[in-house]
Amino acid sequence: MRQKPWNGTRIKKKQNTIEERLKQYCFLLFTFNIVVCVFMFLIIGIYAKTYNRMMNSTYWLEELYSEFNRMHTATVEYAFSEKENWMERFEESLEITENDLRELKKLNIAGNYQRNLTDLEHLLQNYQKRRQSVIEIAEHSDPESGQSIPGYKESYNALREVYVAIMNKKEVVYNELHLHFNQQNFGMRRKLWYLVCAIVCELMLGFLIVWLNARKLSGRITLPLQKLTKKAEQIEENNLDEMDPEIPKDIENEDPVIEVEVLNAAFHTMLKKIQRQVAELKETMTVREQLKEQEMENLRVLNLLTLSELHCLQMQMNPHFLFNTLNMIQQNVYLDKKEKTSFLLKETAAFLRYSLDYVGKNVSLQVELEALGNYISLQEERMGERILFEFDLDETFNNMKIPSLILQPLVENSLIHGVGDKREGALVRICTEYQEEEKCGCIRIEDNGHGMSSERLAEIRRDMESEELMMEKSIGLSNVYKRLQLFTEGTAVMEIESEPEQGTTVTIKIRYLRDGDKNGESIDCG
Amino acid sequence: MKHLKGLLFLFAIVTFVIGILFADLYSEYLKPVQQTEATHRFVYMAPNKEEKFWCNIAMGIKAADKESGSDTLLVQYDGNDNVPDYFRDAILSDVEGIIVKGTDCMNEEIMEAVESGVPVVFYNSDFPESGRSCYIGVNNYETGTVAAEVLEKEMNGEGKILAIVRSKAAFSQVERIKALEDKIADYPGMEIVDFIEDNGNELELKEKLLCSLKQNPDLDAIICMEEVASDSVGMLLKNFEEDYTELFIVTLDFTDKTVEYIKNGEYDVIVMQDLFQIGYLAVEQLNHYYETKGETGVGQMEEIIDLNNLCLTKDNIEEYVQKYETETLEWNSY
Repeated sequence: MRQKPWNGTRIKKKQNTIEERLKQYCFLLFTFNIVVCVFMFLIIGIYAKTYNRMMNSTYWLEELYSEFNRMHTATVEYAFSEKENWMERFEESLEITENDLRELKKLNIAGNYQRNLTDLEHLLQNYQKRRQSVIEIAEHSDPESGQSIPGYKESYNALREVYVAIMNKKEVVYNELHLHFNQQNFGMRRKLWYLVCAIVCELMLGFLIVWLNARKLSGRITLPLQKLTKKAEQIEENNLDEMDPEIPKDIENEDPVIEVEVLNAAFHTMLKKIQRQVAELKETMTVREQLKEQEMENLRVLNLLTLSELHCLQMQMNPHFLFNTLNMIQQNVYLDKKEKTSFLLKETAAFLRYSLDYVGKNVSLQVELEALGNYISLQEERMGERILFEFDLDETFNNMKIPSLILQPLVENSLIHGVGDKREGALVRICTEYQEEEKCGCIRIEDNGHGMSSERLAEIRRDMESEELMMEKSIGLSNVYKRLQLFTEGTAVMEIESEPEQGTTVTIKIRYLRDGDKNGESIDCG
Repeated sequence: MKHLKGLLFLFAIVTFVIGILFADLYSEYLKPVQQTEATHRFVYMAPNKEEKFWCNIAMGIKAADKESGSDTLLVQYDGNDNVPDYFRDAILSDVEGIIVKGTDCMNEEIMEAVESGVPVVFYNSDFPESGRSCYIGVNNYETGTVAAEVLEKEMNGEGKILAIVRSKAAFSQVERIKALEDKIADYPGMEIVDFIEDNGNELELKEKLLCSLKQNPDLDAIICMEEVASDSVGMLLKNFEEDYTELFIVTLDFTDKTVEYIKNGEYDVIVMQDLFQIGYLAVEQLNHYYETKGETGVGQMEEIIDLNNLCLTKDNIEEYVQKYETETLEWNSY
């Protein structure tokens, strides 16, 4: 027959359920109660039995002698009257006497008690024998004769002798009973005292055991549940992150019942999962936020670019620029200045070509400067001797990449807001310089125009920093600044310095390592 | 868990102990006792259940009862006048044997008992004319002889002796006095200077003793041949002005007081019969009577059993006393 393998763990687990533990506890309580009840019943039984025996023995002895006296009276009366009812009474009393004697002999009394009862029994037998003699003599006599009955007196005296002996025995037996019960009471009381002390100790032990077991049971059931409840409350208070997902060691050490174990394990597993999922969610949200931010940034860049395109387009389509340029070309055509016209058309085309081709792209400084040159040429032609454009260029970093169309808006700003309305002596200087210490290329557009008040300057700076894409007049600066920031990932610096009537200087600094300075680093945003 | 297991173990032990206590209680007080019918029922009558003398005899009786299965009732009679009543009660109770101190006051009752087939055993004192069936005790003459030998040994055959008796005419005294005189006569250096008859009266004893001591300042020994003298002489001598500690005192009675005197060194020797043997042999004889009666139809017992005398001194009295102080005796109370 296939035998199932011994699985002590399974048995142990089976015993560790709430039901099993409660059964054990109830069994313990039941056993303890039964034991105590049994002991109490035994003690009460002993007391009752002893008391009953004492009362009964006294009763039987009294009854015995009472009936014996009736027997004797019946004998004497019968001897005198020979009436049958006395004989019947005698028989009745004899029966009761013998019964009582039998009952008295059953008592478990040591000492001379049994011996005295045996002697009493013999005395009663002797009494009956002598009584018989008396009865016989009395029956054979003639009471009406008036004469004394021979032998009656002797036989009656002999009977009386036994009667006295029997009566004497009563005191002896009674004393024996009395002594016995006194001794017994004393001895029993002492032993019962020990017993009661032992039972009280047992009671206290029992209570201690029951209390410890209850405490153990509580530790196995209610305490873990209470702790579990507290943890659940913590969840309610949204302290999920601070909760320890591991089952507390003190609960494990309490050896909880299986149900609680399972509940605990399930709860903590669930907690772990929830915490993990929450963490994942948070991570996902963080990533999403980052993505969102990135998207927003991209959107902003796109907007910027779009705006730049717009601006460029605007600029390209700028009626004033085109009007002036075309006007200029028309004048030259009218004046039949063919070369000038050709020159102007060429510069304009070049600039427009640059604007169309390179919008939204990064170009080298050199290319940007060339495009700027085209624009400046047109402006020089338009403005004539009113304005002087100066170039102070450091060609050592002409390869530096920059976003397209960042210099032209600056120059345009100088022309429009700085020196545009000057009748003479307007100066716009374009400088490029590589700063060795800072490892950056510096581009400066300065003019000697009207300058700006500090409030206006602050306003312009604010607009530059603003996230909003402004479509106002300072869009050029803001656009340039933002595109520079995008291109250089925030490392470029664009400073505007201006004082009223002192002109305005816009300085752009871009980190750049020249070919000879590179140590494996390059900033290439192409 | 360990504590719980320990407590459970303790609980089990206490329960076990309680069970034992209950069992003990039950067996001692409630368990029905197997009532074994005694083979024979006898009665032992003694004047004083408190005295060692009568108790030692009773112990011998009980020892014999245990061996033979008989049952001897121990009866203390208060006063010699009540002895006949107890005697008669015993006969009416159909007892099968009576053990009583030799007396010449109940000849009628004794004869009645013997005629009705109840043997009577005398001890300590004998009165053959009473009709008793058996006497167990020491030969009074032998006692006197042993006492004289003790005196001779102590006095190296020379010295003066004072003898105290109840009455020279008392039966038990006569033989003892005769034995003493006969033995002393063998030693010319020894002399019985005086015989005091106290008649069982302490005051009389005191007067006569004092007088005799004054008359015989060079007395060497005193022999107390009756109970009152045995119990009183020690105390009297202590209370007299003179110092009588050098006197060699012999007594023929074994009582609580004489035992104490021996232990304290006030007395020197108790010459006595083996009391335990008296009781033991008495029951043995009665059982033998019924055994032979059963076989032959006629009960037989030895008429006289002489016991040897014991000499108790300070050296061996403790051993003798302890030997027989092991049992609690149940006396019938009247």
